Amino acid sequence: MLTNQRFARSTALFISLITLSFLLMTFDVRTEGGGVTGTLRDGVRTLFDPVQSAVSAVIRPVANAADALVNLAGLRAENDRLREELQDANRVLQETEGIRSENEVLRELLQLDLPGELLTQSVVARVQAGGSSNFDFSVVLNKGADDGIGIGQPVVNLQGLVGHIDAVTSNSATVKLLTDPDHAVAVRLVTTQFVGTAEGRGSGDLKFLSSRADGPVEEGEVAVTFPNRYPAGLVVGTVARSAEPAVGVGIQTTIDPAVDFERLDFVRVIFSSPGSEEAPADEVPAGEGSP
Amino acid sequence: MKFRHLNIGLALGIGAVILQTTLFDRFLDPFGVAPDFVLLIVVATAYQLSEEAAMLLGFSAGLLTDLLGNTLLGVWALVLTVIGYVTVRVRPRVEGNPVLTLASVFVLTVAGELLYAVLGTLFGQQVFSDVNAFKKVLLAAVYNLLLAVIVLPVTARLMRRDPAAGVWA
Repeated sequence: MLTNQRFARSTALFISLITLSFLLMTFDVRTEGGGVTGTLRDGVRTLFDPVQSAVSAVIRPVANAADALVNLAGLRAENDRLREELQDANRVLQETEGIRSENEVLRELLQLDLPGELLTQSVVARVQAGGSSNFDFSVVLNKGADDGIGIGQPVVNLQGLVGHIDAVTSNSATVKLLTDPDHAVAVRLVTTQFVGTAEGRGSGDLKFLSSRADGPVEEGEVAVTFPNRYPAGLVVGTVARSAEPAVGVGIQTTIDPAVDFERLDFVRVIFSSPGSEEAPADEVPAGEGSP
Repeated sequence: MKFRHLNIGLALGIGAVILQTTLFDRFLDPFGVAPDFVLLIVVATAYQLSEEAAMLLGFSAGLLTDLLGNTLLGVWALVLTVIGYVTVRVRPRVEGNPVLTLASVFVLTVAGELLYAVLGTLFGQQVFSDVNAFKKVLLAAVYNLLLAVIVLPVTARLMRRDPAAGVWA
């Protein structure tokens, strides 16, 4: 009798918790992360920010030291290789003065924003936490609304575009990474000028689609942001494999992201409002944003 | 339901979520995949708790994972509630047999990650668009299996369950 009662009680609790979970999911989908669930999320994140920050501060040096030990042999070889590259670079630098003026003209042609203009309206932040699971493609920064960060702002590091701000509390911000399958960005290939979308695929390369491309693209061609959600000219990555246009499809290939998402640390949040640099509607590829 | 055990379980669950976001996802993710430490802690504590306590712990840890992450609210709460429930149901069959216990951790991790992927897809998250989705599921299960060798006995000791009835008896 007692066993039956206990079984009935635990079954009732099980059904209640499952129902509550489904209600939360439905509510979160309907409110698109806003409303009560958004407030709840903000509250919990604000509560846990100092804890995550403190734990991260303790773990980071230990992890870095361990990483350095593991990679010691590799670092020596890399050091030798970098020395050789530096000597090569110095030689090339002497030859590039003439190319610099040409580069300025090309930049103008490509409508690339100069980094200096963006740097004056930005803030540097540090990654304090990663995603909550292997299917969560986000990182948490240690700065938030108090530092001027707002939803939709682009996030970059020295390598290129990282993603955009997806949620923000007073002193932390969540970045949706380029690799998120729910994320797509409009890009322009620098050499061929083809415009298309680069969609996240969870990990690894981004999927590049350009329905209007009418010629081949070569491996290694640089892809930069096309002005819409993001400012123009932020490096997204390089074409991972050459491709020929197919009838009715255009070009379909992959882009190797410039950013190493596994080891994000310092990033820069750019204070440009989304859509502030709208391109003509007929030029914007369909699908940018969250597909 | 022993509230002391549930409280220890909840503390472990909160600690697991913090470690998942700060340590495992950022620094301890060989081949780009982190262990599902929160799920492992839910399984490890569920081996020591009553059915109701295991479900409540799973729901709470899952909800916190959803709130601190950038995923749909309620998905991990549902997944970990089910994992807590199933773990208690499986317990009598594996108790006392370390090999079966470790195998159950592997199977429960795969089941939990797949359930997450299916639910996420049903609710509009493109989990299966991840080209490495199955690699992530399997590697996370392997890592959880390896970590379980340490985590299960430590959890059993923390919960102070009778060693004779514990998972390593």
